[in-house]
Amino acid sequence: MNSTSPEAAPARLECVQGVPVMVITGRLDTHAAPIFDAQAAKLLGEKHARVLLDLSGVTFISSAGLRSILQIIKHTNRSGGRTGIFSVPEQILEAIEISGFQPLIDIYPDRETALNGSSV
Amino acid sequence: MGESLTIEVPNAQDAIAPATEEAERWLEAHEVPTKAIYLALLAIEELVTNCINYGYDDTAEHTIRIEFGLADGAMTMEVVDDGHEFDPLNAPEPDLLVELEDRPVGGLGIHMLRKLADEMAYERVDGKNRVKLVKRSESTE
Repeated sequence: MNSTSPEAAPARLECVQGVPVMVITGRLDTHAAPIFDAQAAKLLGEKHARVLLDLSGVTFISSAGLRSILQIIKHTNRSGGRTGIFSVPEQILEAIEISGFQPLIDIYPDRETALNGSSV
Repeated sequence: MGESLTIEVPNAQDAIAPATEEAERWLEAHEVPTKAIYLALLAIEELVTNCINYGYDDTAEHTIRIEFGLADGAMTMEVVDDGHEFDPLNAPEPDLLVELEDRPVGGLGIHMLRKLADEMAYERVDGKNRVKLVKRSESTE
């Protein structure tokens, strides 16, 4: 999954206490969404009831980026769980709220709270 | 009279990023509030991408014009294209409450613009689509 250059990579996958955490940075738009989807493909190929998304570094999200996040939400739902997001900048949170995604995800103020709410 | 900026974008995907950067630089230089800048960047991405992807049948080069105006504490933005007639205000609202698995994603970009803008209007004039968005500065306490 490391075929894209680091500059072009909007996400980095970490595994913390057994929970996959995707750290997303920069603009999650029409250009970045396919790159993100390719990076998320490995995760979506496995069974995960819980995935956390670190959105602290996201500066912009469009409908294309929200669709990418929806893929993760659907994936954790199919595995009987939920996706969690944390450290969400105000503007990004507003975009998520008006899109109606809010009831579908767990929103945490920071990484520690998100991990505490994700015991596996 | 306020300030104005016009950006002309060729109908090519790789023309969107430079247009976005130019708009962002100009809006920041004029101290436009963050929420209005977000709306502007979202409108460029959603409306121009839509137009490039679905607006034209031919392979000719077209120009999409983005006009910004700043006056009386409000940002006005118009996106003008000569593509197929498309009224985003007539696009069906996505049903945000349907079951997750059946959740449609089409129309989400337009829905976001309608929610974030204080005003959104559409006109078809001289064979062109004109989508107008207005964002007023919020009174801050």
